[in-house]
Amino acid sequence: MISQSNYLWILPLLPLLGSAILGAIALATSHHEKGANEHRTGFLAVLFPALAFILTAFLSLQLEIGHSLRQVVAPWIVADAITVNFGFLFDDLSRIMLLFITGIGSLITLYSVGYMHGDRGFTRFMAYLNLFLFSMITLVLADNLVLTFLGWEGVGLCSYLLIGFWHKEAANGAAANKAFLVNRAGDLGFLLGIFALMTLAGPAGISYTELREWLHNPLNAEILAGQGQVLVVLAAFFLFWGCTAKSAQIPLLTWLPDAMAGPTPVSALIHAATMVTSGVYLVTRMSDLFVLSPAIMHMIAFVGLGTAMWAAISGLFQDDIKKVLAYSTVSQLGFMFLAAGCGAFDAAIFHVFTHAFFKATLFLGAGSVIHALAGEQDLRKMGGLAKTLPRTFLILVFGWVSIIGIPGTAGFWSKDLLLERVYNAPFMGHTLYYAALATAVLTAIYMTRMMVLAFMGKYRGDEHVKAHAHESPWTMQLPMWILAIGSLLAGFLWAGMIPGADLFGRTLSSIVGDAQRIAVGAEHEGPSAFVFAVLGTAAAVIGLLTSFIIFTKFVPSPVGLPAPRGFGKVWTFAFDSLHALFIKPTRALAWVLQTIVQSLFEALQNAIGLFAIQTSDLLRKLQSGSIRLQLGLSVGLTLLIAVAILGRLF
Amino acid sequence: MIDILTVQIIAALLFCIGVAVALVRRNIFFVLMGVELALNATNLSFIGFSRTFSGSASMVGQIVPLFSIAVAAAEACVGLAMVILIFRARESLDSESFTSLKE
Repeated sequence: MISQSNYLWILPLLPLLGSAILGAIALATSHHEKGANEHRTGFLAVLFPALAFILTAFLSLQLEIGHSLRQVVAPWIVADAITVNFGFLFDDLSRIMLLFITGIGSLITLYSVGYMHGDRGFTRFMAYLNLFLFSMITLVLADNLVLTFLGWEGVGLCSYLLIGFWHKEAANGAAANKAFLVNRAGDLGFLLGIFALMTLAGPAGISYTELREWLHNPLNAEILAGQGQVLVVLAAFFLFWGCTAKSAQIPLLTWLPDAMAGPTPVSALIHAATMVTSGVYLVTRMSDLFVLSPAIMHMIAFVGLGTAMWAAISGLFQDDIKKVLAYSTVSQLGFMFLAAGCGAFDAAIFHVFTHAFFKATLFLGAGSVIHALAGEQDLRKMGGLAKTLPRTFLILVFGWVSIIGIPGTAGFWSKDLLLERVYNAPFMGHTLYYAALATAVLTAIYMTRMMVLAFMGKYRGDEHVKAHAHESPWTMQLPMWILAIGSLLAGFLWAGMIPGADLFGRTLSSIVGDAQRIAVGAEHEGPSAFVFAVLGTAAAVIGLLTSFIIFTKFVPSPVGLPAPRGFGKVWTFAFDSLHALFIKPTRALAWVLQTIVQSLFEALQNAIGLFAIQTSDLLRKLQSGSIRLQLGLSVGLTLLIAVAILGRLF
Repeated sequence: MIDILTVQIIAALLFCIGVAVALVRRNIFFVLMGVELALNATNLSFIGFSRTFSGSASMVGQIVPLFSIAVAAAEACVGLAMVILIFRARESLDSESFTSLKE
């Protein structure tokens, strides 16, 4: 059921308005010694996302499951071949995405008010955050691929702006450039995907609802089975290519760990909870297309699993607390794509949802630790912080038990469901399941390692820093507590073993139900859910105990910079080395262009310039100042022109 | 009755003489006189054409010289005033000595 709505345009407009106002304030105060009043700008910054959340919640409560709202605001591109509208679609998938984007977005903006306190770029930062939320809302609320692409580019831009927020350090600018460029490589895939769909379905290939109808229309079955088959595979491949960049999957994943150069709330909001999950959103949104090409589905599953395992192992070597969380984000995103590739789109989105809670909790908690230790991010210089920062410790414990999957937590329910679906997948399900289970053990190991190094044992850093360690202000505490409680309880929206607790799954079934039936086929009897729960818990507990035993004994010495060493370095930067294979020839080509081609063109330009100068020097001699000569010249030239005109006339 | 063509030939001759005087003579007064002569040659040409054509074209041929004479009078005033000023500054009537406007 699709009904018309006249209010959807307000949703993206709210943060855009906030961004415009804050941007204007930031510009107006740019020449002042101190920035604008933080209380007022902070209030404005939280106000607009919070209003967007309230509106989303209101619409979600009004709308029954299975129904959706649609609004076409204005035509955008009108051509013979295609028509693209500024159209919004508020259905079961976008409502889930919007609820946690605006909800967690508001909380993290509130946290930033405390975290960025005293920073000269406070107002600018808040303007960027609002702009990001506008782009993200556009991305998930759009009713067509092109408008989604607009949001997709918008979040990429905000990611760039926020990674390089502290732009006085060259390394931050380099990280921002890297993120932007790698994402451009992915955007190419997205665009090619749109073109492939337009070639396949014509004007219907752009809009989500129309494409869905087109794919399910029996009249088009012949095209899909025949010549359209290649285009389906190509479209799915290209769109997934786009997703690998945005969601940091193999091979375009190197930018995400570097993105930690940005302020910690940015890492929490953009590079963990929301933006990086837009790839999973896109795959789920286009699930009707993806299930038509099983080869691409298998590819997604293997890429997801490979990413999950690689990043989990990388996470073991990191000494920077934010880098551990960055690799864990990459790993969890891998889990989501593994599920999507196995046809469990709803489980993937559920993991996106719970991951948003526990990863935001972990990042904000880590931010609180960094804030307390005056910017220290090196795990080797922490230790014993459980006594110094008891509240932050408790918050991080909530996030930690959730990500490793201790029964009852949000991470447990989503990961358990995800793994069960992977096991029951028709193609190599068992193998994928055991590999994913091993990755879950690794997850527990590196996350416990982080907790042990930061909070257990003795403090290894500078005593001076510890003396000043303090709990964060309420603006930071409140969002952390809400998210921490969310990372414990959010899983009960779809607790597989509790009858009736499947609101989340029911909500999504109208969107992905058909696709999942095609992908998975008939339901078949697998082992009971209880077995998976026991195995998942065992994985978590084994990892936890192993890690606890190892890392309470072997504590790294706080010498040098917090960078991976030895084998860890080779492993961590494996994909950077791979990228270098492409970057080096490009650099060589750039060198050739710069030195040879550019100097050729420069010589040509200089020759033209020299000719003009010499000629004008000659002509200048004619300006002798003698009246008779000048008069004679003008009379002579007039005669010449007269003769020329008469010559043409006769 | 003078032939129409004769008028035009006389006008062209006067014009050429005026231009030649302006170009050849170095005395600045003669240059000005040459320019005036050339100007009046065109006036004569206009008058001649006013007899060649009829109606409104004829009227134009008679009116334009009147305007031209008025403008020439004003121009002569300005020109002579400038010559006097230049003479006071340079103490010379030779146009070749006024070359300060070169590049």
